[in-house]
This record gives sequence, structure tokens and C-alpha cells, in this order.
Amino acid sequence: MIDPSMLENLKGELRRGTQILAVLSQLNATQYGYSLLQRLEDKNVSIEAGTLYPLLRRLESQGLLQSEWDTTESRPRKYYLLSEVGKEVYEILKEEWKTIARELDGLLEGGKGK
Amino acid sequence: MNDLIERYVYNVTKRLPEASRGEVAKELHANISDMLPENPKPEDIRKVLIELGEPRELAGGYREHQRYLISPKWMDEYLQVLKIVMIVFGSITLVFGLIDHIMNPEATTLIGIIGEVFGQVISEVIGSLFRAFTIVTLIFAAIDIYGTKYKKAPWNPDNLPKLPKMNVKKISRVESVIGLMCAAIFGSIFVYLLYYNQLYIGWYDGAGPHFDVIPLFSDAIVQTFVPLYIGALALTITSCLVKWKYAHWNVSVAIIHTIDKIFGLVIFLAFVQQPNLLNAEFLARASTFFEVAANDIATGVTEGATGFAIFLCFISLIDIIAAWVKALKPQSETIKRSKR
Repeated sequence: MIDPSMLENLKGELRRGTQILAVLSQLNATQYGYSLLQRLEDKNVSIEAGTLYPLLRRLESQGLLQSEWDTTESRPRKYYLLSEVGKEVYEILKEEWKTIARELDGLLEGGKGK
Repeated sequence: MNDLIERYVYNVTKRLPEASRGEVAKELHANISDMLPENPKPEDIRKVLIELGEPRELAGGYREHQRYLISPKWMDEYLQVLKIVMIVFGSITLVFGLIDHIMNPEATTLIGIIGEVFGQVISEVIGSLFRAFTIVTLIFAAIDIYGTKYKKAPWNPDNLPKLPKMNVKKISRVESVIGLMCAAIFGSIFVYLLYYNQLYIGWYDGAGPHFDVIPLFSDAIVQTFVPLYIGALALTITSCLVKWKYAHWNVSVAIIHTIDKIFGLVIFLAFVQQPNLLNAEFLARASTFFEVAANDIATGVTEGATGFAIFLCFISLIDIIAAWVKALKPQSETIKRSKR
């Protein structure tokens, strides 16, 4: 019998590292918090609002994102965009992800084959 | 209805450093209003807030570092030191509290004094345990803050502490049996002599075989204490039996050992502190014989006995601490098991 809360924890841990990559991948064009959330949802990437908003702020303070408030509309919105550093980091992380995927594929498939 | 949103935002931002509060509040307001439909109903607001999650957790996400008083990497050392310091503080307070309250009791009856001693000493011990807890916690919190600010030198395997001694602290069975026999024999003789105080412990006048005995202690006090001494004797015998059964130090042995020592001490201290312990007739007889005032003899005897009792307290304190150190000798059993 698998403990469901343990399973949730394991899944969450596996997913957590990929969330930053997912967010960076969508910020070549400016997005505000909620639009980014919907965009990720449309692509079936689930991230909770309570996780995404603090994450955006953290990535900004690390210099990967730049932001700007737009107060011209009735609702003020904070728009985010990849910074120059952010673009570089994104490319590096993307390569890293591909390596990880390849390595794991080798392990998982290999295990099945033999 | 915006009240709910304001309350939510406030409850998140109040947990954050002041510098970032304004900006986070602004972001949260913007994000929440984006998530709401035009002209939101109260249920819509509730739904969005539930989706964002508990303020405590959301604030945790905004914070850059996890915060601890004692971080997990120090937890083991913290708990170990805490245990030892609390035992030492607790036993020192226990012994000195006992001395203090038995020497200078406020209550006048024996039962009153015993009640006072236990009540006061327990509250003082609890107080000292709290102080020990606070001091250890503050020191470790400081170490933790200092440790994260200044990176220490890289870890070196040569600095690993040596393995503790392999075996648990044995108690030899022979020793327990001898202790048991001594307690039973001498204890019984002592109680017997006390009980027949009028016949045996006293001033012997005249020539044998028919002595004229003036008892040393006043009978009323002795008779009150006889049941207590029997209780103490029973405890000592139990303690010896428990030691014989386990044949090594552990928590159960240390507990019964501690109770035995303390009970014996309390009874003895209470006994020698009784104001009219010495029989007036005996004092009178002795004062004529030694040509010293009866009062001086009484105080002399009391002071001598008290001094001896304090000496016993120190010995017992050391003995009790030693017992607990032996009992809590860390994980020696586990090490032995894992080596097999």
C-alpha cells in the first residue's frame, strides 16, 4: 500500500526543480503574473499561484528577470521579462535539462530492456 | 468586501521584512485582482484566496531563506547537550533545595515539613529546568547564527571523535547481592534498635548484667520515624534488586537509584533536624558526667549531625550524577549491535 501523502511529496520534489525552467522558458516576451500562470496552464504545466508569484520575485532578485509596473490601464500590473543574464542562464539550464533527460532515459529504458 | 483581500495581504506581508512589504503587497493586490472576474462576488474572492494558500505558507515562499532557531544540522548536538545540562541543573537544584528546606522549614508539623519540602523543591527544580532549557537554547541559537555567517574550515575526517567505549556500564551481580544483604541486615538491625530505643540506645548506668538505660532519643520522635526508615529500607532493597536484575546501568536503574538516595537523605535530614530529638533525661545525665551545659551538648550533637548530613548530600549528588552519566552513556549498545 503506497502512502498517498508520501507519493505527493515525491512527485512534488521531482517537479520542483523543473518549475524555474518552465517559468524562464515563457518569459522571452513580457508577461504579468496571472497571464504567465494561464499560459503555463494552457500548456498543461501545473504550477500553483502561491508558488509562482513568490518564485517570480525570487528570480527577479537573483537578476534573472527584469520587471516593470504598468499603471496606464485600470488595473496596475507588474510585467516580467528575461534579463540578459536570465537569457544566458535559461540556455544553460535548458542544456542541463536535456542532459538529465537523456541520462535518465538511458537508465529507465535500460532497466526495462535487460 | 475588499476587506477580505486587505486582511489576506496584511497577513502575508506582516511576516516579511519591512523593506519588501510594500512591493509584495502591491504585487499581491495586482495578482489577486487579475485572478478575479469583473464585479467579483464574495465567493469568487474566497475561491481565489484559497487558491493562493495559507498566508503563512505564501509568506514562507516570499522569504529568501528558511528560518530556524536551531537548524536541523545542529539538532542532534542541541538535544544531547540539553539532556545533560538539564539533568545536572535538575539534580543540583534538587539536592540544594532539599538541604535548604529541611534545614529551615517554615511548617511546624512533620507532615507539614515533608509537604513543604516536596512542594517547594519540585517547583524549584522545574524552575531550574526551564532556566537550563533557555540558556542552552540561546547558546545554540547564537552558535547557529554565527555558524551561518562565518563559513568554517572544510571538514576534516581526522577530526572525527573516537568511538565511545564499547560495552554498557556493568553492575556486578555480586556487588548487588552484597549490597542487598548489607541493606537487609544492617537496615533491619538499625530499625530494630530504633524501635526498641528505650532498651538499647542510651546511657548505661550501673554494672552488668542489669544496666540502667537512659534512652538517647526521645521516644515520640523515634516512633514517628520508624515507619519512614522502614520505607527507606524497602526502597534500598528494591534498588538493589533492580540493579541485580538488569546488571547494567540504564534509565530504570538510575531512576530507582535516585529515588532511593533522595528518600534516604530526606528522612535522615528530617530526623536530625527534629528540635527535641535528644531525650532530656539523657542530656541531663551527660551534662553532669561531662560537666558541660545540656544545651551545648544538644546543639553540638545537632550541628555535628547536620554537618554529616550535608556531607552525605554532596556524596549523594555526585553519586546520582554519576549514575545518570552511566545510564545515558550514548548509544553504546547500538554500536555494539551494528558491529556484529
